[in-house]
Order: sequence, then structure tokens, then C-alpha cells
Amino acid sequence: MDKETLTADLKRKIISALNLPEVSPSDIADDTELFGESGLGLDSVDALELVVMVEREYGVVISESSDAKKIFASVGTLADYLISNRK
Amino acid sequence: MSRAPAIVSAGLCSCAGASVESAWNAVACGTDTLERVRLFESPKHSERFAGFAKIAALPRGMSRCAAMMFSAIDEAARGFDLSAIKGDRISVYVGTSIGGIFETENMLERNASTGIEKLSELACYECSTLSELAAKRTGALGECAAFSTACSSSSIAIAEACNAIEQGRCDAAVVCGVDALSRITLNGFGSLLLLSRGKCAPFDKNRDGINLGEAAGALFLCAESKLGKAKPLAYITGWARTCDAHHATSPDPDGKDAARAIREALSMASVPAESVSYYNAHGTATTGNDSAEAAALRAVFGQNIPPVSSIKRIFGHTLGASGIVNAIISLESERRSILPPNAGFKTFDESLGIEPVTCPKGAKIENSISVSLGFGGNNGAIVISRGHAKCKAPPRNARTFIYGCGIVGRGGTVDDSHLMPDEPPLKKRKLAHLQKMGAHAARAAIKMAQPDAEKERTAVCWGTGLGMTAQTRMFVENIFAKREAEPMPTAFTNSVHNAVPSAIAIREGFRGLNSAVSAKEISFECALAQAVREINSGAADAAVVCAGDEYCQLAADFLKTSKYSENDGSKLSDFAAAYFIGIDGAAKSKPIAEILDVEICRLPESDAVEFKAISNMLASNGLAASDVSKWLSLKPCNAYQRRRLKSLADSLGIERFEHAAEKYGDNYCASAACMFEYAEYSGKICLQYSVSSTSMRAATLFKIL
Repeated sequence: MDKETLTADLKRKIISALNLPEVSPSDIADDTELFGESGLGLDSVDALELVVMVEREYGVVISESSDAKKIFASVGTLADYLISNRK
Repeated sequence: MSRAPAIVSAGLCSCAGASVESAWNAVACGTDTLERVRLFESPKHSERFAGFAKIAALPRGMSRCAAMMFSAIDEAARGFDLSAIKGDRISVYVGTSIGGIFETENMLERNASTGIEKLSELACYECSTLSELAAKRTGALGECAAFSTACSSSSIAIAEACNAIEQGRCDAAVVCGVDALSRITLNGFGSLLLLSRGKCAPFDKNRDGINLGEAAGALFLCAESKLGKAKPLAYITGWARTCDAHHATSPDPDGKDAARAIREALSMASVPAESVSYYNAHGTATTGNDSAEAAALRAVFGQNIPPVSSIKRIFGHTLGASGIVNAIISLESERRSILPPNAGFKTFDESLGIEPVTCPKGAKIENSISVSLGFGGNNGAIVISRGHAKCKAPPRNARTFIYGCGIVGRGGTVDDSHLMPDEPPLKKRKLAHLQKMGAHAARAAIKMAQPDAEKERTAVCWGTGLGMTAQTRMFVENIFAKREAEPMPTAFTNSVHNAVPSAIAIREGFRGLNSAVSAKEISFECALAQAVREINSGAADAAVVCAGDEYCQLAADFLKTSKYSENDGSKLSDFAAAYFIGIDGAAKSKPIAEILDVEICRLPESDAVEFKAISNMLASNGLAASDVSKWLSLKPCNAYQRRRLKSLADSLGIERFEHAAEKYGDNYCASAACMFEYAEYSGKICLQYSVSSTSMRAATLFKIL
């Protein structure tokens, strides 16, 4: 899967995993901040939901909460992480 | 006569053994008590370490929590004979985060594999089952309730007992803290990435999370004037409870409300920061907790941080029990004049600036402080001293008014899509059903009241019989269905009983006491009693007093087959109610009613004794039965109670209004609707009388304005 397909796929899966209301994939740019009020406004528990989603959907395990912050900064950073860590 | 709360006895059952002595020895020697996870199969976490309690006897049908708690209570009972105090003057406060969940998990696992729905273990599930058992074990006939504010539960319970003793609500109190290991906590903390890969290292630079533990602690407290010949072990001279109102699980990184709890507790005890001999930390060894706690320590003590240690490496994080475990170890350290070491610490962390005690050290310990920081930013601090507080302010007798109210649910289930209309959809998606109901009712009460009290002096006291049943069940069933592979962190954070009051605090910014109390059909009244005491103690000026329970299919099925109740489960409903209460001037709107008194105890066996008790309560408020216009109560649980209520109201000559809240369906908290229903009787004095299925009764006296 190339990065473009992966980011499109991730956006759909993030919306579905977090049950985001009134958000469509086109509302999320690759560099939209996932956390913080200026971006999508997700919080640390959402990040943990995404850890579960990433393991289920892509088989990539994230076990350190300190890493999660960097990895989930945006859809772009998450895609990069998945590409370089996928088995 | 001094009503200072004295500690007269203690008991502890933990992974270090079934006595305070064995626990102290493990702390002093740094014994390696943690073992690989056992008790249940855990595909994902079998390599983790946890502390398993050394339970001497676990009879068939008894929950692990009950067995540990009885061990602790029996040990405490050997140190102090409670029969010296009148039974109705002894209250019971138990702190537990999830009570008998372990047995309920076993039940759900078995039912899923056999396909047969057998629900007998559900009787262990309710937190209040433990407070009821503790009352039976000790013969206590006073107020009896369980506090469930996650990891601060037993600190909240200790502080409650101190308020009750100091304000003369009881002469002695049995305080317990208990939690057993369970799949939900192991997988829940796992899903939050908070479990240590090895054995925990509190305040260490390389700390990587917690080890879970299980324990029960018991403290017997007694008003000094009622000690008789008994010698106090120490005094509880200061206590304070605050809330971060910041996040569902993470502490406020600045630790400013944790610091406020420490300051307020020290100030109550008249102990200046520089006179603290020992700080017993929450110190869970997660990155976030230890860093927030260190920030609080620096804020209170500046450069002169007292000797600090965390004992989590010895006991594991015993969740709801951790506050009382800390208090008991602090007590022992004072009695033995030894500072307990912080096992597991190796490498100093500059970012924390905390250099904990690393080996047991002789020291005269006059005043120690023990701190708990729970989910929902729920903070509790307890000061234990060898002597009295020097100049403690007596409790005030403030007049308390109701300024606003709100109700959700009128029988049946509630469609929550219209609740919390002001909440942005992105935030609302995280709230579970009961949270939406509670927060909606609270918002309505607040809007009506127009609060004018300081937010850090506004408490949120929530009563609930069953708590977040749907979220708990969903999380546990998912563990079995997915073999722990896909945990649900949001459901876990929402599964704690205090998920509702902390959601209210986060939304409204209220940073005073934040509590969840569970006592079956009188859960609301217990929350009200707690709020009134907190206001009388001077720690709060206002409170949101709220209560609710959600419709629960399991409970309906359980009642259908239960032979103990006339309730067949067919009318179980969703319901939540909230009142904004406070002292004169706590809100801008005109008060609706004045709360004159709330008294909770076990219903005496004789009608004559209860008649006298209610007459005394009226007399102490300068009233006679003839002054009371209305008697409000729900439909009692059974024929015996119906007869009792009728006989009592008739002999007092008060016009009776039973079934006052029948239109709200069968709900543990439906009695919270009574005052709402009768708000129209202006100028009248009303007595709200509630009896629970375990024969606890609450009498609430209020005047409609």
C-alpha cells in the first residue's frame, strides 16, 4: 500500500474507530493535528483507541505511551510510522 | 469534649501477608512480594507482575474482596472492642473502586461459554455489598456506605469518617478500603499502556508503569471523648479532598489541585509545611502520576521537601485500597519511628527532583501526610499525627439551601440523543449513557441556581447504586470475546463509578470534593449527607448533589429470578436527578428549600425505638411532629417495610405520601425525585423517609421556602 492509499484508509478508519461525528475523510488533511483544540481535538484516551485500531488493522504494536504522542501527531506521521514498522 | 478522630485500631490483608505486622516487615525489609499474574488466564498479560493477597480462608460463595476485608476487620477488632460504643453510633465507610467485580467476571465468562444465564454472583457486584458486610461483621448500626472514586476511594472514605465523627454524626467509624485483582483492571490499565513490564520503580527516572495489587485495610476511628480507657494509636488531624476537573484519567500535570489538597489538609491540622516529618506518596510509578505528584510536592514544600516514599513496589497499586494501605503504613512508621523506604528506586530523575527515602531510617515522626490521586483528578490527603491538632477550627453549622434542581427520566429508558444539547458533538461522543444523564441533570440544576460560589469550594457528590454497568459489562465481555486482543480504553475509563461526577466537574469546573457514593436505595441521601457535611466542615460552600442509575438488563434478569425482593425487574428505569445546594449566597437565584437535617442509620427493629429516633431528630431541629406537614417516601421494598412505615407515620401523625416517585420507575435513586415533586408546598416542613432493601433508612428534613 503506498502512502496515499494508506492515509486515505487511515482517515476512514480513524473516523470509524473513534466514532467521530460530523467529520468526513476530506476534513482531515495529512498534516491536520489530531490532538489539541486547533486540530481535530482528540485526547489521550482517543490515542489509546488508535493504538488498538492500529494493532488490529495493520498488525503494528505500539506499547509505549510516550511514543504514541509523536506517532499520532497527524495522519501523515502515523502513515510514516506504519510504513517503516509494518512487517 | 474533644471530637478529634483518633485511630484506635488497624488491620491489613495484602500480598505481604494477613496482618499489619507482616505488611510493615515487608516494607521495612523491601521484600519482593510481586508475582507473575495468576488467578485467571490472561493471554496478553501473563508476563506481568502483580501483588496477590495472602488470603487465609476463602469460603465458597464469598468474594475475594469480602474475604480480605473480613481478615482486616477481624485484625482491627482484636485491637479495639467496638462493643464499648453503641451500635447506632458506629458508622461504616468502605472505599472500593469495583468491589466484587472478579466474581462477576467469572460469572460472565461461564455464562458466555455455557450459554446458560446464571446470575447468582451478581450479588457480589455492588460496591455497597461490601459496606453492608462490614456493618454485619462489626455490629455497626449507623450510616453505612461505599465510596467509589477509583484510586482515591479509601482516602475519600477516611475523610468522610473524620467529618462524621467531628460533626457528631457518629462516635466511632469502621473505615475499610478494598479491591481485588481482576481482569478488568489488568486489561484496563493495559489498554492505557500504564502497566510496568517488570516491577515498578516509583519516582525513578526509568519508571515504566504500575504493578497491580490487591488488599483490604481497616481502620477503627473513635471520637476522643468516647475513647474510655482505650489508648489512641494516633490522631487524624487534617483531611482534604479536591478535584483537578482536568481529564477523565490523567492528572493535571501541574498538580495544582493535588497541592491544594495537601495544603488544606496541613492547614486543618495546623501543621506548617516545614513540620511535616514524612510524606507517603501515591507514587504509582507511571510517568504522569509521579511527575504531577512531584509538581504538587514542589509547589507545597519548595526546596524543603520532607522525606518521601512510595510503597507501591511492595503492595502493588491496590487501587481503591491504596489510600488506607498508605494510611496504615504511615501510622506504623510513626509508632515505630522509622521512615519507610521507597523500594524499587535506583536512578534520580532531575525532572522530578524527588530523592525518596531508600533505606529504613530512624526518625521521630510527629506528623505524616498520606496522599491519593485517582482517576478523574480525584485527590485526597490525610494527616496523621501523634498528638492533637493545635488549634483546629470547629465545624460550622451553616444553613444549607437548595437553589436549583434537574431531573432526567420518567420511567422506562431514556433516549439520550437530546441530552446535553450544548455539548459539542466531538466531546459528547465520549460520554456514556449514565454520564449524559447525570451531567444533563446537573447542568439543569446549575442553570436554575446560577451559582455564585467559588468553583474550588464547590463539591460534586454523586450517588449511584450500580454505577456504570453497561460500560463495565461491555469491557469485560469484550475481554472474553477477543481474548484480550482488542481492549476498549474509553469503556475502561468510563467504567469507574466516579466517571459521572468527574465528567460534571470537568464540564462545570467544580474543584471541591468529587465523590461517588453507593448505598442501594439510599445512594442519593448518602450523597446529600456527604455534601452537607463537607459544607459544615468549612471545606465547601456549595455542592451539586446528584444521583442516578441506568437501566441494566442483567439487573432486571437478576431480579426476575431473585427470591429476596418483590421487585421482579419489570419496572427498572433510567433515572438521574441533581440539586445545587449551598450556604446563604452560594447562588444568585432564590432558594427553593432549606435542608434542615439528614440522618442515616439502620432501621431499628422496634417501632418504638424508631419513633423515638425520629422524634429526637425533630427535637434537635427545634421541631415537633405536628410541625411537619408532609411525609414523603417511595413505595417500600416489601410488606414488612410497608407496615413499618405506615405505623411510624401514623404514630407521628404526619400525612403520608407514599409512592411519591412511582412515576420514575424502579431505580435505586428514584427517591431523589421526592423533593423535586414537593417543591410546590411552600412554607411547609417535609420529612423525606427512605428505606433501602437492606433496611438502611435515611430521614431528610427540609423546609420548602
